[in-house]
Amino acid sequence: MALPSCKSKKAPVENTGDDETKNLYDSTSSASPSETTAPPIAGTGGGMLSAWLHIAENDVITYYVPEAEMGQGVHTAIPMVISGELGGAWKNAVATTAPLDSQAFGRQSTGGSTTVRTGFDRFRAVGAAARTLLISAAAEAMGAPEGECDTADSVVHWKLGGKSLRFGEVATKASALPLTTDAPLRKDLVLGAPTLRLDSFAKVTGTATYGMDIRRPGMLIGKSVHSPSVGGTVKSFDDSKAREVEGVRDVVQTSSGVVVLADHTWAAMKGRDALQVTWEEPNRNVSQASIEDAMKKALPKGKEAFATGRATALLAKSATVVEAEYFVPYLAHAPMEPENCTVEISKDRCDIWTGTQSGTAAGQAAAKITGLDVEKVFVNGQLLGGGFGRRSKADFVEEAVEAAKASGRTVKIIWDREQDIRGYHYRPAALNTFRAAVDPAKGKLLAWEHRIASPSILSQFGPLRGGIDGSSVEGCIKYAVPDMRLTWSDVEMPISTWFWRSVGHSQNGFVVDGFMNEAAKAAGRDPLEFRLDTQIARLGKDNTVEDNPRLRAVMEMAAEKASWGKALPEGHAHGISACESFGSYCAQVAEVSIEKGKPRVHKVTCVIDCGQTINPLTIEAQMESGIVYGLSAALYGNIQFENGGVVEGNFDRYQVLRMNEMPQVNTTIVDSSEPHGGVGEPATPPIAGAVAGALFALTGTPQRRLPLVPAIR
Amino acid sequence: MANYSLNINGEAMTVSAPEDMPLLWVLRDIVGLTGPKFGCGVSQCRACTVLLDGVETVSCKLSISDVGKAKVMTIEGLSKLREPEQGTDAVVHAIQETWISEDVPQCGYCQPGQILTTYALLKRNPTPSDEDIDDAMRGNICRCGTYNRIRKSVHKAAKYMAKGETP
Repeated sequence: MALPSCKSKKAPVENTGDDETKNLYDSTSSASPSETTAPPIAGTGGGMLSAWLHIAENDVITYYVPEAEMGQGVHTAIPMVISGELGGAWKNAVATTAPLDSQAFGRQSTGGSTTVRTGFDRFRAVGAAARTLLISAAAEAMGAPEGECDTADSVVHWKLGGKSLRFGEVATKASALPLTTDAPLRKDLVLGAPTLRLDSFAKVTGTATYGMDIRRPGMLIGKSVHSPSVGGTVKSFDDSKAREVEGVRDVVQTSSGVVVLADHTWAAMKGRDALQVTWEEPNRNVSQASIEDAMKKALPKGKEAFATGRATALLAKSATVVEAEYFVPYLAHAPMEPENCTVEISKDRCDIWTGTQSGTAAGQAAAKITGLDVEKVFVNGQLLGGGFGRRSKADFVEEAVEAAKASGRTVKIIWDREQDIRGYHYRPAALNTFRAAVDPAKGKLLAWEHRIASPSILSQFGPLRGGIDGSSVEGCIKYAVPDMRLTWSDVEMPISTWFWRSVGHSQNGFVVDGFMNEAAKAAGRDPLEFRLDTQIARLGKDNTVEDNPRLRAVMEMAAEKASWGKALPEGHAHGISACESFGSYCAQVAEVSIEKGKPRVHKVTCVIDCGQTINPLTIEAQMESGIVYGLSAALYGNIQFENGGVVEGNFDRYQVLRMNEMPQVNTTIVDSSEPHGGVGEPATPPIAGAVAGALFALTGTPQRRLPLVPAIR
Repeated sequence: MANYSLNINGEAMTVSAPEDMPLLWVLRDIVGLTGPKFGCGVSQCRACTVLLDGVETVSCKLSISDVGKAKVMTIEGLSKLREPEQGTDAVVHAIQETWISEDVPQCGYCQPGQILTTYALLKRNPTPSDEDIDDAMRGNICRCGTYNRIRKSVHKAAKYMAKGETP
């Protein structure tokens, strides 16, 4: 994994922002040890104890969080860890997004459910360093030996001397002291207390600031048009009508389209609608049929991603062979807040205000377009109205920077929902074929073959390791037999692929568990018992199969909590899926019925083993969140192409789960002392497979295609 | 362009805007209230919900010329409905307080719309059933999946409001 050095003045400008996100993904594919980048750098005095925290005279502690808060709770989790080491009082804690600062924070990208599992040691070091400064300053004032002082509840105590000083009384002095980089960590640090979010007050009063809410003096609002088909570019445009609209100030071309700049959003929208653009559209032949056709052609040419034993031979001569074809579509991320970005460029600096998952990528993209050094680009990260991977792409930042540069004005670009959904950066579609040999007499799985054809995500960053896109095949070796084979074929498509909450796991949980249910039925077994009778496995180092006891344990626990096998109400059935992803293990049992021809999910029993916990409230919330996100995709999610364009444009066609469809969710967090796992993504992979399994049990017909609810055409 | 007399969060004001300009953009770009959020532009997600004479209304499709004499309330207005208690700086309504104590928001972008829809619901139906809540709130999309917490908070807020208490 290539990390930009935190000490280096020059960040690697030649890197595109997209590479930055790929680096992050590389670091997440498996449970990775805590990463300690640079020690916290010195503050600037005035109560700034480091770049990470400020303590005011009234004891308010402000935490500058370098990770993006997109709902997943990092503005609470990171301050909790720092505060624990610091001995800070939680009632006076405030969290805010830190500005882009590679010297202070290193890489600033949020994704891959990495924040806690790779940053934990670093957050502790930040808290410990600040504690040491406060003790030094207070000890001197009290005449105490530093070794006899400790902190608690934002007070430095000298028990033997019977004296104490509040943090606020010594913070200014402490912040002028040289920062220690090797401050001792607490031996008694206790985390895991249920803790309410720090950002709720702002979010329920309307005072929380998202990128969408930024206002700058003299700012113009930009509304753009993008190509009606994928990969199109502007051939020519006529803006005479657009410029007649009252309030329109300028019209500029960018590499992604044309932008109308106006005094307010409505004038920009009307101006945009009055534009006449002629497009060069090289990909109008892309259709749903052409995509699936290309996948079918590519599938037999797959490279071996994993093989053991003689799967092919065994399948050829076995009497009972199950075969099936599974398909999942392209998916858009559709965060609640459409993409937007505000940019101000002057001679020697560029300021950006946006909700981004990668300040680093945004900064690099702006540096490239403006020609400024990346240190002259100031990215002021705002709260994100959802991210789900979409906001690690810097395309909306690029459009805003180009428009600001071309117009010489301060510009805020606001995309329509249709531009978000038709943004052409998608979770890849995937075609899967399976064959399994089973022994119905013994009720055993004998051989397993899984072939995948799916446009690669990782190939856009360079050659693939071993010719295989690891994200396309992740999580596929889960039920192991001595004879197994897994192949993958890339599918050349002019459609850009991108990281979508839980990446390859988002579809592989569904297809693998879906087919496992078919194999179980062929073997005459209950789906849960059949699984538990099979080796539940993972791919370890050197691509070898190893036992996966933690995945087995969550599966057993979820089945028990859901009373698997016990009677359910008439017309209800259970389905189960369990997936390891991002260092965590998550199992779900879905209780489903069919109402008016549609699946109705009543209840999801969820068990998560994410190692040690920091905030159980966040974990529970992320389980609900991951389930809803995955369930929306399982029931409705579908990006379909026609004449090179995307059929779905808004929430009327790209449907998502609503209040009346929400299942009850019961989450159990496994008590564990294992290293931290991720929580933002691991609940998304199992839900589709669990629901599909229940439908199979209800109807006897396997569900081999997502979405489960056919598109309303 | 025309001048419109509006009452927003109890404050009378005159704004100059094109007659077809949606109320959402008048509030956000002219008045400077960013609590109502833009999410879809076609009345599908209701992140832009405001109250018009107490009734939840999608502001992205409502032209300024159609607002008439109706009193407009945004989430900023709801935040002002209760006087601050001594020693606190929290000026929030009981609904907002239950949202905080039930840890409802995640990204939070849809929550102003969810809260205002709840306010209107509880005004006309102080003891809603789960089905009443579904009917009132199925229009408000949350991509983070906070629906169950919202439901619990609606019930909890209903109890507090019935007793005239705060959480």
